[in-house]
Parts: sequence; structure tokens; C-alpha cells
Amino acid sequence: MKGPHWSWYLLIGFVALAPAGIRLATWPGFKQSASEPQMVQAGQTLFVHEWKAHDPLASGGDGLGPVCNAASCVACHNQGGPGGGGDLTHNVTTYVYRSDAEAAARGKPREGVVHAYAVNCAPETLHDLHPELPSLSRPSLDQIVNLPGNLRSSSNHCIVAPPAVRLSQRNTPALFGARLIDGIPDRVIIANERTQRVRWGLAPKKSESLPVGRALRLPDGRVGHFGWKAQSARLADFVQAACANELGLGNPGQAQPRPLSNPSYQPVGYDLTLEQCDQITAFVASLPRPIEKLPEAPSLRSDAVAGKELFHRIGCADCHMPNVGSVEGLYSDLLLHDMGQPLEGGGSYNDVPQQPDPNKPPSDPNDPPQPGEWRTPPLWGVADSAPYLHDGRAPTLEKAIELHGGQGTQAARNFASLSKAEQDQLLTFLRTLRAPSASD
Amino acid sequence: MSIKFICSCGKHLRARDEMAARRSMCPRCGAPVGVPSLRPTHPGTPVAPLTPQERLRLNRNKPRSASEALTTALFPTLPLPACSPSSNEPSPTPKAYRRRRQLEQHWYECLAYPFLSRNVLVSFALVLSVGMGSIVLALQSFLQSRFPWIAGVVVVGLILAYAYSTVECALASALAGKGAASYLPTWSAADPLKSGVRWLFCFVAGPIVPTSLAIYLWIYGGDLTALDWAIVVELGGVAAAYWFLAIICANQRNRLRDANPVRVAQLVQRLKYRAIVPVLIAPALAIAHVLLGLSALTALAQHVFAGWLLLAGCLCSALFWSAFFFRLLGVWCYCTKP
Repeated sequence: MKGPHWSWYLLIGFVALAPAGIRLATWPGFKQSASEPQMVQAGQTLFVHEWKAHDPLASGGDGLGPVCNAASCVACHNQGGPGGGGDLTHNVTTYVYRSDAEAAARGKPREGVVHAYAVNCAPETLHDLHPELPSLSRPSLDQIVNLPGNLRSSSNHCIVAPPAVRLSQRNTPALFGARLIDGIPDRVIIANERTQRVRWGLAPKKSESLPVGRALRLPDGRVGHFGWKAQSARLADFVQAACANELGLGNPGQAQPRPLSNPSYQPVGYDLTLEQCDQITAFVASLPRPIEKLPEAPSLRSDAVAGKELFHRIGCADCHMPNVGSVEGLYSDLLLHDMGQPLEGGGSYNDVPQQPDPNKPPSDPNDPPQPGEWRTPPLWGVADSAPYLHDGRAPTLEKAIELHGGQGTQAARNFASLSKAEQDQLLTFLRTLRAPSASD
Repeated sequence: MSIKFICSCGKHLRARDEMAARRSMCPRCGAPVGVPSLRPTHPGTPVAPLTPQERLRLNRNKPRSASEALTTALFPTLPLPACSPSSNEPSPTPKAYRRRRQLEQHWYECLAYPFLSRNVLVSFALVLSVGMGSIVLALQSFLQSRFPWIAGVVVVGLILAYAYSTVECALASALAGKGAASYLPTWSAADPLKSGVRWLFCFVAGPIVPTSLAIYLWIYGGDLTALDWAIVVELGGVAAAYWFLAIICANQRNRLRDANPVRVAQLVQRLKYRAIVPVLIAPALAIAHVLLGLSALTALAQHVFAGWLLLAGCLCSALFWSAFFFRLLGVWCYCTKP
């Protein structure tokens, strides 16, 4: 019997291999493009610039404000050099306001920032947000903690005033090595999510105790890389949001906030052009990555090496993964993890948090970040970025570990079960993770 | 003087007198053959190999040990048919042999095969469900406490090997031209271990590559698009198809080295249009069962009771379909034997 013509085999082979060929051709790789020096230079100028109302550099808009948290980027991002983290005094107060009227009018809760400063208008106070809250402007973390108990959640620092106003603070994150994080493909973060689920025995996507995180898918399908809630997919988005929210510099990517005391305020135009935003982004992207600097003394050096081993052994590295994709020494999986009720803290800047819906399956990957969910902060440079946790409530690394709850509970327990010498070794290791300036 | 006898595959064999009443291996099909005894082993039994009726009668009259009684009670099976035709008959052609031994004539007749071993297959499915489900449920706490959970995996692996061995009996019996009946492995650990090794070898000898690629794509491919799923399914299909064919090749002559691409290609060529079953239909069902099984295990991990039912149903279905396909392919291979 005559067999099929050879061209049939060829056709079958072609059809079988075509999908794989298309996928290989479109496989997303690590994106890392060097910024032009002129862009970086211009961005640096904008980054350290002290903005004023009707600033000449913001020719299209009203300049700084009308509400803001600082007058320049470097005012907050300065620990270990321009681009570093900030101390407690530069904490930002965020709110989520969920009232029936708001929900009916907007279909979603209102959220934003209670700004520290105001330009040509009355400063924002907590009272502007809700009449039951005190007339307190620029509240510190201590002031929030010491608010009357009927306004505060019993076991954390998050204000829950009726009808469901949530207040919490955000500490300034360091920006070193942001270009490397920006270049990590979405698929690598999703791979972290999948490997954690498989590793922990097909665990559900939202686990209360197992360190199984989830990649935050934004409404446009991209995966969040930046922000305490992983709310920004790209560095450019993060910069645009920060310019608008913290400095009141409206731009094409993010509108500037309106004062709580004057919600009808209309900006005259954009304060920053897209090009200026790109320049700041280029400067931030040019910031060097943090380093791992071993101590000079041999005994401390061996302690640091032993501490690194302990870091893996007690489960810290389950979430603070040393390497993500081709980025080494990041110590984060860039996933959202539920850190438990004591660490709850409102929503994100740009996205609208929602109350968990009991009728909705909890594993929906498109859920916005919940109050207790936080992106694992990269630990590179952690030694030079105190205080710790999202609102800086932990002054030391030891305290930060102790306060880990939810999915971090087991690792915190494991740390507590170590001997004092072993705990010191682990902390010595963490103190080797320094800001880039430590190499000088 | 030598003993003359015939293997179940039709091969005429001779053995020295010293080999009387001992077991040997057929040089053609590789199946174990019993060399007839020179004198009756029991008063009143014939010298030649027993017919099915004689074997049944003998088994009924023989006093049984407690373990055998328990085995029979748990897994009642049909008696094994005679492995070889009587020695004074000429060697039959495969077709004539097939008619006489009631080998399945049509593909749909093979559907009845799993039901002959239904008690065993359902029992395995239930035991495997309990084992696999327990491991998944306990895994999370085991992992947190750094417990050596690998011990549980070994136990489930052994049960799985028994299940493989049972399913493989459907293939081996058909390849040897044995008529439809329930064929089971012995309770000795050697059979399932050999079977497990054979399945594992056949997997490592090829299907592991597309399987690894599919898993890599699933993990590192981000949120999978329709194209990605098409590739994952295609790779899974290739792996399953090659695995089926390699197992058949390795069973034909009981040689592991036959699980190679050349033999697999020859088998596909020999099966002609029938190759669509191991290449397309069986892999499609295998993938469906894998996905169903994963859904069941995921549901179990989330403490959903329906996961138990889904897992048991999935494993039961998988074992029934495997037995059917291996029986069918074994029959086809026997009929197309060169």
C-alpha cells in the first residue's frame, strides 16, 4: 500500500511546531536599557529641585501643590544618598473612605493622601476627612497610634472610624536598583507565585499562614512591580504617581490631588510634561543597585556567612528570595503577601481597595490588594533604610522580624526560636545589605 | 531426550529433562513459560500443561492459605486461561489463534476488559485516592515542620506501581494472545517494582523532555494565552503518546532497550491508521485526566470535600481507560505481529 506523500509529514510537522516557534519569537526577556546621560542629568536636576508654587519648571500648571508632602523628591528619598529611603518624619498618611453615599455616587470607595503641606490653601486635617476625626494636620505615626481607642482598630495602627475610614501611613521606600526591578519580566513574578503554590502542596492562592504570595495583576493586565502594594507596573508609572501624589505635580500619567478642603479645585494644566517625567525616571533608573558588603572583622564575617545560611533555613528566603530572574541579591519575590491583621493598612495610592467579598472566591487574581497584603519589600540596602515595615513602626530589624504576622508568622517564630547568638548572626547578615554609598 | 511444548505465542519450544516442572522464558515473546513436568505433580493430574477447566478444578480442591483466601475474597477474578494450546496441535496462525482463544474481534469488545477486573481497579483507585489526598492534605503541615514526608510518597508510589502492573497485565496478556479475562500481577513486590521501573524508564527515555518543557512553560510563561495552552497541551500529548508507545515496545519482547524512537516509529508504522489511538485519542484522555486530577488535588488542598469524590472518580476513570487502551493496543499489536 502506498504511504502518504512526504509533504503531508512536512505539513504536520510545520503545524505542530508553529505554536512553539511563535512563542519563542515573542518570549519576553529581561529589559534593561541604559538611559541617555542628558536625560539622567536633566532628571537629577528635577529630582533635587525645590519646587515652588508657579515654579518656572512647571510652566504648564500651578507648580508645587496645592497640597503636597514635600517640596522635592530628595527631601524624602535621602537615606544613603539621593534616591534612598526616608525616616519617620517623612511618612505619608493615606486614607480609604468608604461611605454609602460615596459608593452610590462613584461605585467605589474614595482613597488618597492626607497631605502634610498646603500651598495657598488651608492645610489638610483628619477632620476634613470625617467629622469624628480630630482636627489634626500632618499627623505623625505616634499621634495616630495614640488616637482614642474607639477610632483605632484594637490591635494595629490603622484607624477605622465609622463609617469605615481607614487611615494608615507609608514610609518612603528606597529607589536604589529600581532599573533592575523594572526590567524583571511579568512572567518571572508570576513564576514565583506558581512555584510557591506548587512548593507548598498546591496551596490556595490566598493563604492565611503559608508563605504563598500572589502577583498583583493590574486592570490593564500588567503585573505590579513597585509600591508597598505593588500598585505600579513600571518605574515610569511609579514616578508619575509619586510626582502627582507627593508633590502635587500633575502630569499626563497621573492627575494631581485636590485638597480635601477644596474638592472642586481645578488645576490649570499639567505641571510636568511627559518628557520631564521620563527624565526623572531616567535618573531614578540610573541609581546604582545596593551592595552586599561583608564586615572587615573575620569573626563578624563568619557570622554574616552563618547568618545567611540561617536566613534560608528558617524560611525568610521563602518570600525574601535572594534572586528574582536575572536580578541577584534582591531578597524579594515581588509578590503580595498577607501579613495579618496587625499589619493591616488601607489600600494603595492608585488603585481602589475593596472589602473582601464573602460571596466571591478568594482566589481571584485580579483582586486589588487587601488591607493586610503587602509586596515583599526588597531587602537589598536594608541596613541603610530604617525604620522598617510599611509605616516605619519597627525601628530595628529585630523588631521588624518580630512584627511579621500572617504568612510571615512561621518565619518570625523560627527566628524567635533561634538562640541569641544565632539571631545575632542573622542580623549581622542583614546588616551586610547596604546602600550603594557604603562601597565608598 | 527433551520436553517439547508450545508457548502461548505459538513458538515451539524444547527443554532438557532437568528443566521439567520449572519456569523458563520464551525466546520469541519473552513471556514466562512453564516447562511441563515429566510426571504428575498431584495424583490424577495430567503431565501436560493444565487446561483452564483443569486448573480451575485443581484450585477449587486445593487447600488455600489464609492470605490466598483473603486475596480471593477481596479481588475475585476469573481463572487464568491456558497460556498455550495443546502440544499436539500444529502452531496456529495469529488469526486462527485469536478466534480459538476468543481474543477480542472488534475494538469495542476491549471495552469489556476493564470490567472483568473492576473490583481490583476500583480498589486501587480508592486506595490511591486516600493516599494521594492524605499526602496533599498533610504536605503543608509536613513542609512547615520539615517532616520527612517523602516516606508517604514512597508508599503511594508502591501502590501506584501495583496499579501500573495491573494495567500492564492487560497489555501483556493481549500481546501474548491470551483471551479476555482478568489478569492480575502477583502479590510479590517484584512484579510491581519491575513494572514501575519499566514505566519510569519509558518515561525517562523520551517523554520527560516534552513534559519538562510543558511544566517550564506553565511556570515561566506568565499568564498563559491560548497559544501557550495549545503548546502545553501539544507537549503533553507528545509525551503521553510516546510513553504509551514506548511501554508497548518494552513489553513486546520484555526488553527495556526496545523503548527507543526506532522501535516506536516501527510500531506506529505497523499499526497504520490505528496509530491514531495511541497518538491522539489516548493522550487526549490522559491530559484530561491529569487536569482533572490536579483540580481534585487543588480542591483537596483547599479542604473542599468534593475533591475526594473528584479524585476517586478521576483515578477510577483513568485506570479503566488505561486498561482498555492497553488491552486494545495489545490486541492490535498481536494481530499485526510480523
